[in-house]
Amino acid sequence: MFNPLTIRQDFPIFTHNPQGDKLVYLDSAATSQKPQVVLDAITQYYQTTNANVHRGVHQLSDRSTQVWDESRATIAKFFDAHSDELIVTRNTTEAINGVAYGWGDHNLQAGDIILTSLMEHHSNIVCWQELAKRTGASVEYIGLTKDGRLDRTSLSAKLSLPKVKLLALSHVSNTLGTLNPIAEIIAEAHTLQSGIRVLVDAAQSAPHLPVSFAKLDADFLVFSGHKMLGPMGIGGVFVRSALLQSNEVRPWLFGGGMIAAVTTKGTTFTDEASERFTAGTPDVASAVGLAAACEYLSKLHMSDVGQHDLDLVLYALDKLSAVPQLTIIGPQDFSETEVDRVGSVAFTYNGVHAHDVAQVLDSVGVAVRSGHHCTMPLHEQFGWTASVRASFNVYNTTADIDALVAGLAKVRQVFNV
Amino acid sequence: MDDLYHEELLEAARDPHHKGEMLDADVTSPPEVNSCGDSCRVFVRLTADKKHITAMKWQGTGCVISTASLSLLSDHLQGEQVAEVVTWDEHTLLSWLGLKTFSTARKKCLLLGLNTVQKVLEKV
Repeated sequence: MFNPLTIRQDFPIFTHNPQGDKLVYLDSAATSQKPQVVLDAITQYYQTTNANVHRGVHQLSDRSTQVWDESRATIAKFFDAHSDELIVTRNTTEAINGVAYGWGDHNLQAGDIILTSLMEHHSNIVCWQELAKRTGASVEYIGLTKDGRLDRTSLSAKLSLPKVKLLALSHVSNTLGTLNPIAEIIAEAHTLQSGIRVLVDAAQSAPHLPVSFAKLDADFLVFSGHKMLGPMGIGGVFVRSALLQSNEVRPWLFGGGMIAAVTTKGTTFTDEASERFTAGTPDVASAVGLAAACEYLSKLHMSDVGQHDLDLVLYALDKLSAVPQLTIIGPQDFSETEVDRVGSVAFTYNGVHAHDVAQVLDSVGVAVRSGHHCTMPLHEQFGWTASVRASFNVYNTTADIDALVAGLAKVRQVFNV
Repeated sequence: MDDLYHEELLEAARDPHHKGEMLDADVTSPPEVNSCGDSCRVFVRLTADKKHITAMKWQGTGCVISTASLSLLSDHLQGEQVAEVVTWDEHTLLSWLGLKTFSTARKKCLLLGLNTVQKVLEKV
């Protein structure tokens, strides 16, 4: 039985932070809190297993290598992928940079098009702008509807442009909360543009929904561990194995650990994909921590995690839409069969800047994010200077949303609006 | 927080001074944008020897902190020496507000106006 109050007890931050159990943490889309099992796994690794991985003959190195491999396998299984398809990075941003350098630099040329959308996080825009500068390709943006969904007419039109080589799209928007029908879109991309590669940004979906790399027909899927109860400093990109085998994707970081043989004249890289893309000593402890987070989420059942998120999103939409000073951002009208909104509810407060709203909310213990949430083009598109975002995870309850609404009454009082 | 939003600051933001364009400015800044999205543009008029500031106006959108800070700045700049203004820092602004400490996260808001003014004065 999924009970957020019991789950909350697994997260030591709620007893150890300076505000104690008064903390109402509604900023999980920025980073989630970590359960004790994740912290314990990291500590235990350093206490019992720490040694550098690979090529060490001694027992400890061997054990550490095993733990690294097992952790990679656990993380891959969580995404319904094979561990050979997983390239570990620090986070989603680094993963997208990796695809830009390791795939983009070798496969794009002047005149090619990189297609992304106006709802993307800066990481899924800036990397492509820089890649475009290096290769002479250009970046095109899929438009949005007024209610904050992807404009399917614009999507089809852009996908029909000549030489669209990459579609890079978020599964769930970090600001709008919009859940894109990603499988349908990938199918359309393949129909309209043969040979197109597709990157799915799963940073905001993986914490809340079951994500299957095997079932999605994507070439790249990127994620961050720290948003899904794991530690900071680990994330990754799943790459379709054919692209690794054909060398369409090449290493973008070089040095120790990724080589087969090195001479003064040159170097050959190892065939083993997991090693070819891991230059230098990896963050084994964080991989162990993320694997523990994946196991923790799997035990909660991702379908129940998703249902809990849906309950919170609908409750928040209901309560916040009753506050007259607010304008809610993102989809609010849903079909009878599907609510295409996940993880967060953002809004603007009429007459009060988002930072000031967040500052007052903080004074009553409610932690929300304010600003542009790394989606400046989206904010510009809709004419918002900044917005306030409340985002959820497994430890949140409807009482947290009630506390947010109560805090908004104080905003009204302080600013007299 | 209650210290942060004291009446003086709220008042300064509610009725900001010297907001608007100055067509006969001696120096004008390009729009300066904070990473949070707050932005401003400043216009400064100088004495003939360019050693003193006679007036400042500003345009921009932002939170209470950046707005109040720009408003106070526009009051305090009148008659000041350029050489003096370039030495001002967050402590100068805090002293106007009667504060000793300030939220680290909001320092960028506080300093947006001053940084913009100092940037244009460097070129005088």
